[in-house]
Amino acid sequence: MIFITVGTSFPFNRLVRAIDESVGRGEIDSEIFGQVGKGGYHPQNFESTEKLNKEEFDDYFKKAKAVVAHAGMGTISMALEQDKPILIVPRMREYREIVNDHQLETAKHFEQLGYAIAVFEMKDLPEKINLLKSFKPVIRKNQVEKVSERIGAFLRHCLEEK
Amino acid sequence: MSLTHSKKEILKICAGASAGGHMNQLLRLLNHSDSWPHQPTFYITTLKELIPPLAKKGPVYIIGEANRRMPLRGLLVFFRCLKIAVKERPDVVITTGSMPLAFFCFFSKLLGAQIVWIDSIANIKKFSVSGRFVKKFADLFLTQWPDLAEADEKAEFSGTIL
Repeated sequence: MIFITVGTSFPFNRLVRAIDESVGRGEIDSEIFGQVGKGGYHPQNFESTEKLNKEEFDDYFKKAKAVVAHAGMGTISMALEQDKPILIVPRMREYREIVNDHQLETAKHFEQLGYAIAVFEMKDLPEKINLLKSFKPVIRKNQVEKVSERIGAFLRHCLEEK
Repeated sequence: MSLTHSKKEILKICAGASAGGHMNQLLRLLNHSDSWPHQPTFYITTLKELIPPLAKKGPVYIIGEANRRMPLRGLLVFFRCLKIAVKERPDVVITTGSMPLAFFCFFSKLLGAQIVWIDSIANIKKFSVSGRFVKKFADLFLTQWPDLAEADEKAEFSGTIL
């Protein structure tokens, strides 16, 4: 199953519609479930819901073979943590999908690093979705311990100063 | 560490983040915080859905979402932050953003707190708007991208959380 998620803050009908039409044309050869938000577009060709609670969301995410999402860091970070193949589509300001175009930068960057597949034009979507099956994200070198050590040192310094 | 910390002084810590990617990063950091001096900590976030994972750790405040599109709501969040800062008077604030937490940092700083800001990994080419604001008075300002740290006098890179 491929899990589609667009978050809940703004609509992202452009993506939902593109996937729906593509499934309708028989271009995508995987089962799909979508969390499509309150954009008002209801997919005809795959099962979907407007929103999911956190547990349901985590469950779908975990079960999915791959994820298709907006280029939001919440979703991208989850995919990286679980080594889940992810395809990201930046929300664009010109379509009133978000307040600025920072997702464009995010999408480009994470694709460049090999952590995600990015789609910038909907016409590329079916081909790229089908690529997800064989896509292996580059394993991120995790440095959270170093960040934690730095903050720990700062806290000890604060204690000594007190 | 135990010897140096046998002094009576304690640090009251506030750990906070907006729901979504910001909170994912904060939680991941907190899950790797065993080496930090053990101090009383309270938590701040923007949505009540996040109470369960945080309430296990300590007291939680919900301040509501705010962004540049919702000025009135922002005002409400602004005053909630002031109220909590005055009531709790944290010694250290540790946050991964975003805007609502920047408000909280501002008030806490005025009341004498040390501010640790970790700019979200989503900010690749430049710091977030709220990050740039907090950087003016932060005591430790971390970015998760080495290039950004190199180009800035104050920002440090010590690794990535994700």
